[in-house]
Amino acid sequence: MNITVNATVAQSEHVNFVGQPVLRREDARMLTGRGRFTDDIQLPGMTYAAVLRSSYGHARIRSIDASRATAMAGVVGVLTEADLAGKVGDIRPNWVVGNSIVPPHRPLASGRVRYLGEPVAFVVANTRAQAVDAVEAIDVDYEPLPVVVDQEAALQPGAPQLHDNVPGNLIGVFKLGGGDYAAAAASADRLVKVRLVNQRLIPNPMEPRAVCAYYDELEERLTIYMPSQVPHMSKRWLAETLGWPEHRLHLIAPDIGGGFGCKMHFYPEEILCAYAARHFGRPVRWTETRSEGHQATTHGRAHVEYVEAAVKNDGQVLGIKLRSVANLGAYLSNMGTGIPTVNTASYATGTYQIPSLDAEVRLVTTNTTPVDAYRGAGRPEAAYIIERTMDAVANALGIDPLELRRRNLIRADQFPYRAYGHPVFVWDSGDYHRCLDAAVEQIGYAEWRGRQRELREQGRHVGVAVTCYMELVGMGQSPQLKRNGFDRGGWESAQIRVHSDGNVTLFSGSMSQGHGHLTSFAQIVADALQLPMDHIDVVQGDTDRVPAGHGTFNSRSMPVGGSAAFTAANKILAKATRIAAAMLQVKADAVTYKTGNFWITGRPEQRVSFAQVARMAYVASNLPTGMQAGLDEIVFYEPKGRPAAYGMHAAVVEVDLDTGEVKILDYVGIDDVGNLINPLLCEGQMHGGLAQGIGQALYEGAEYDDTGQLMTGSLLDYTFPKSDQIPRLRVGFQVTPAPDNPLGVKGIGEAGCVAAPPVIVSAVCDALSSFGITHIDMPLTPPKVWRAIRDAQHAR
Amino acid sequence: MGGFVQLTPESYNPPKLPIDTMTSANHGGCVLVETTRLYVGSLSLKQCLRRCCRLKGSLSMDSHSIAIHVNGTRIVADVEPRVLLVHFLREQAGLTGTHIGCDTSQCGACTVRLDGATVKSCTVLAVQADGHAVTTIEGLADPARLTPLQQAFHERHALQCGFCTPGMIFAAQALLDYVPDPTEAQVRQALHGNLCRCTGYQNIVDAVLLAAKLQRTEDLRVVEAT
Repeated sequence: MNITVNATVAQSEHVNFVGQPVLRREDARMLTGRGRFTDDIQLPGMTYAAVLRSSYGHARIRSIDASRATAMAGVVGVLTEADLAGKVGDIRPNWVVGNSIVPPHRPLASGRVRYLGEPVAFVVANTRAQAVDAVEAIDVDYEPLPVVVDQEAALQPGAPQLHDNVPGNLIGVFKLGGGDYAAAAASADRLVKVRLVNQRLIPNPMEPRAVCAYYDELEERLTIYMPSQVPHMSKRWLAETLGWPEHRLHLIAPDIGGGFGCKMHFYPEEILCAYAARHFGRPVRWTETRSEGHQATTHGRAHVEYVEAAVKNDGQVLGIKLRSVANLGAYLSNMGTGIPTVNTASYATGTYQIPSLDAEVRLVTTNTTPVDAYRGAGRPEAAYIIERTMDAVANALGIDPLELRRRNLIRADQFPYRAYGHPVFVWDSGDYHRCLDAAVEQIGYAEWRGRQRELREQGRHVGVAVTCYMELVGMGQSPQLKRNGFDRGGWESAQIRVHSDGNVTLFSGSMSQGHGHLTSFAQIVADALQLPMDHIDVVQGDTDRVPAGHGTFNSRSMPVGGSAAFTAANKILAKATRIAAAMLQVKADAVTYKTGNFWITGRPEQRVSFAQVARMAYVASNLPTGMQAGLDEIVFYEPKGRPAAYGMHAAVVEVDLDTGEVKILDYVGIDDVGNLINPLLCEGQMHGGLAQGIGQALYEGAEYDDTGQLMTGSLLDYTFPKSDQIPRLRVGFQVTPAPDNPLGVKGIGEAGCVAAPPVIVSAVCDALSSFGITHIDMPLTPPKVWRAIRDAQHAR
Repeated sequence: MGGFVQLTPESYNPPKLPIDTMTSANHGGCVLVETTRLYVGSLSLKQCLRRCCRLKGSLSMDSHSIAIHVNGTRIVADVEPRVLLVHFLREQAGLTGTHIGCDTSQCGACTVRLDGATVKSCTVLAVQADGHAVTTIEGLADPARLTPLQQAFHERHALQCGFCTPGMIFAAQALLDYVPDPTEAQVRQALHGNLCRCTGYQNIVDAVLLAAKLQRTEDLRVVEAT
């Protein structure tokens, strides 16, 4: 079941590339230190910026005195809100669900700071050290205010209030559902209730955020380098906020050192660098330190959920009631309101045929770093909600958790499946039972159940679990996004330019952050045009070269961006075929094309090459009547539906009773992400996602104290998995082609970190079932597990 | 872990750093070495330095002229005593393949070789490396001629975003230099100080095991990069 790469697929030859484990073109450059990240960019006359950040969780700013800093050697200038007021707009979220209130958010604090790390002043100097020194010389007179960091506490009467226009700190209440939960509850044999915490996480891509901005006085153009997952949207947001015309703003996303969602939002430093570059007339570069990033780059998750399941004694789940409280932080980040609502509640019934859902999500502002999309973005929370609930149901009814899942899974003959009677949410395809069986067999569920009993007699506590997940990917159609409160479309662009020698450039609106798009997108275009991959180049992340785009998030690159590339390639081929027909003096339907040559069907000696056709497209001396010259097509691909990826994951863990340490003995993931364009890269995506999911389950968690100080302010305090903390992962795929896109692909980028948290927690609780432990909140760190065991022993 | 060499900095036989010279007149009498561990958070860098120097009764932020042999080229520069080797490499030497992924010496993205020993270049001051030899990722190989370890990384898809990769290569090579036939557990332990957020480490581990096999069989192919 593991993918083995025995031979390198030669990119210089004519072969079918899609579905092959083609090795990446990106690698040689990266392996030899020739990557080009934003912090690597050096421009003539470069200046460096540093940010003075709030050292309080909540405080009034009585005064800011930057005179000492401004006078320091090498300091070019200092910006505060007083310099920006009336010149630079507010930071606006891009997704606002329902009637959510948008509190004002300035790039630099205006009179008050609401979270630790909020930018207060922006220093530009000739060297990085001078900028950092000058930041320390700015005197801010703060009047500390009462702080609230917990979202449930923030809703209590008398809680500190953050924003004048947000009474009770309640940004909004979002409802979603279908079917009749009240009737389900009335007819249920039992109501099973659980409270869950999906803890706050810090995304931590290895490359910190950075911005490098430059203003060309002669051309009156702003150029901004930054690692944006969404270059064209970043460009739009910057232009709107700065009041600067979009056609004079050039945004370049160079190599990106991981994104995981946090590099798709809109941050103060982006506005400040762009503004400062023009204001001071010098290029400005800012790069966050890791500790700064922990305070100032968006966090993820941070929900508390109350779940009620209406169940029959035979295990049938009739409905789910969800009441959750989401912590959005001090301000609304880009997609902050959408993640705990649409992206979570929609999937609260998971892979099961549960006819009713009644979900209500309260969105709350607190004195913490803004919370936004982080890899999975709502679906990890949803999978955790339903899977922990299924375990609670199994426990309450005394049914094996695996058997309970089998009884409730949606059957293969029920696809397309309309979830809880909802008009929009349709799961398109799959075979959940077959996938579950594969995971069960691979992990050796029955054998482990037997061994578990034997080992327990020896004092060893081993647990085994199998859990399920599903997620819609690709973000959806533009009108549907509008209905959900989005201010962006759902399409992706692809422009394919065939040069006069027959070589090809794909300009794609998707944006790799390490995904390997330069390879996988070239595979798609090479196959569609039946050319060697060496003839295809892929360009992303430059708004002057790529005409339009949305970027990479929500596992959308392949289903939307890949489909755009495929569609554009077919348009190219259609035009090329008509040109070839004119050259061969036959009708287009009499032409056959294969591996770079057009010929008259049945007469292969009468041929013209793809390169000759490309040349003719530009020489234009013999084109069909009415045809424009050139061989250059652009597609704005609008998705027809949303593919439903899913998977069944199984884990075996052992808990050390003396230390509380959890060791993962085996891990199996069987996923259906549709057709695989490049199985090698798909496997890599699963590994990385699983490591982050295991990180959430066992290690990670951002913590604030009651005064709003971030207790996990650096990598000394915030743990994400190291090489010896991740077990060997056994990843396999089951393929059901997605019915609604031409590639038949679903999406894979987020799957791993959706799948892993519930299965790990479930397995640990299974290992500790003899103590009566049914749940421990993540992360399952040794002290937490040890305490749970001790408390359970004391309770007996 | 029978027979496994615990890869601590000591076991790498580190070079003798010019610590003695730190208190000499040549370096302004500033006791820098003690501050190395302190001023890892750049915002408090100057504070730490001040505190340290107050204790020792001196403070000098004067630039020092140093010369470091980087990838065989002698680079002379005037640097402040607080400049870290990683900053020197990136800013003075213009070699940006050495990356900065944290400010607490956790991530290992800045790992290089100093006189043959593998070090995180954020834990060394540039003035400490004065007169010494540094190898960065740019000096190890060029894209057309990868080392066997780099080729194994390519073949096993052991990198995604590539940000941690240069440091990972140095850490892994250090293991292979000392332990030519490592077990999987040894590889995982040896890479403990180098963080990767993309790959889940599995393909990195497999690449190191593959490289070990290639080196053992003396199949030291220098493969043309694709």
